[in-house]
Amino acid sequence: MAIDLVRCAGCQTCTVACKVENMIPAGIFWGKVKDYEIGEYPDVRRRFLPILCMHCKLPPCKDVCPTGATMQRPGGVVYVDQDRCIGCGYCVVACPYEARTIQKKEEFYYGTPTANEELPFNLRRPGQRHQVGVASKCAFCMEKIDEAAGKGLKTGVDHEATPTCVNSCIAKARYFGDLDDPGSEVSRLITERRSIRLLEELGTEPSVCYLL
Amino acid sequence: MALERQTTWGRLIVLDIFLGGTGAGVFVIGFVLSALGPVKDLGMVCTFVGPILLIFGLFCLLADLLAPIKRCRRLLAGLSTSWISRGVLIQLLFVILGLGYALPGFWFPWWLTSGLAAAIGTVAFSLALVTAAYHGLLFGGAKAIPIWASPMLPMLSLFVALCTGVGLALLISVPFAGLHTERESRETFNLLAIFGTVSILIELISLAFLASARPGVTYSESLSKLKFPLTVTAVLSLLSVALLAFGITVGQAVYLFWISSACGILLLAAGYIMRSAIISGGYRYPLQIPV
Repeated sequence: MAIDLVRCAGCQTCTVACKVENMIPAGIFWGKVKDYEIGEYPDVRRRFLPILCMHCKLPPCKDVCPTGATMQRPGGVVYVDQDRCIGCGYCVVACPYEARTIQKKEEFYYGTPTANEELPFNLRRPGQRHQVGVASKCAFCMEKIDEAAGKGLKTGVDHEATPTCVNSCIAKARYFGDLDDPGSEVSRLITERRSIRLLEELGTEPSVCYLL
Repeated sequence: MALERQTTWGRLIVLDIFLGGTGAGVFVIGFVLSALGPVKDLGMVCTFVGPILLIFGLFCLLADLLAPIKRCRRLLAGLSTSWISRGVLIQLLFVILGLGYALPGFWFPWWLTSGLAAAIGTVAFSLALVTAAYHGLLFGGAKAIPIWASPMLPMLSLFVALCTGVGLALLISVPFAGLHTERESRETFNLLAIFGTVSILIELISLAFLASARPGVTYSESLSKLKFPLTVTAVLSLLSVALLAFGITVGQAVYLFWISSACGILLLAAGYIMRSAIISGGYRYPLQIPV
């Protein structure tokens, strides 16, 4: 994924879209946009930094997991099998990007569960609700994309085969595709424009690039 | 620069590593006392208390987990990469062998002098040392937190565990004073004092290295937030050294009773504050906006 920081307006539409798509419980964010003030009065500017799981090539969260609940697919997507997670929190402290959360107790937006909150999460996992006490994180809308890929749709090009945060971005600041394919739009943008990855010095090799 | 602190691990984890470290430390001291001390009963009790404390620590860890406990059967799945899996294996072996070494001694007086006990005890002793250092290695897995990733932490963890182990052994020795002659009590105290002083001095040197390293801005800023608890730990440890030195020179049983009690409490308090400071010092590298 590539995120164009020049285009990002900090509207948090991606944050809300992600919560709706994945039925994320109250108080938990798989994606968020951090808000920064840069400079000193009178020359002050606001800048925005969207944060989500970086799906690192060398994910520290996977290495520290004692039960093997954190896994990595051949394409690079890092995900959590909530049925295997014991909620030790080691992955949460090991992730440099604050991309993981453990919901300590069941919380609802309005005290009691709304009809929406009664639904299984992601709707593609029949009967499965978000579990309390285990780690959760962004999986690049993995199940949605798998389903679309099964229909022959192209990842990052067709709407149904693209993560919700990318589809919902009002400024078209997000791009999704295969970084290993030099012909993909995301690879082209990263090559053509100045880009950086967050905390690269930690050796995690994040798959999310920021275009400057 | 606003640093964000990890909030996932809290008081229960502090208790887990405090009890686990103290348990491992007191086992090491107990084993040394059994081998070198003038009396065997104190060493035997210390080697028994060590694994029991570690079990209490593991209960704290389990209490911190919010997922169903039955999933813990998978805990060894990450053995090749995760320090939690390795720690569970090391600690389980330590508890089994530690109790296997200590328990028979309560019923069979000849046990502690047997070759089998020496063999089991030596393996358990080695595992206790690894357990004591393990907490530092566990934190080292979180590379996002510079203080935790410090290479000094395993060494510091080991010597803090030995110091709290000496502290607990001193406290355990207090009710034993009436069972031993004055000479035996003095010799036991001297042995504990020498072991304790060396451990405290190495702990303070490790702490000085940890505090003087400057691998980056985040590290330095995290450290500045820990100045108070780390200073308190150092002061309590130095007070303990002074008390132990005073105890060695005075040598009268009536003073040793008070010195052992005070020193034991000081060392345990210093160990708890140190562990609490390390956990609360879990400040991450900040996510800065690229310019």
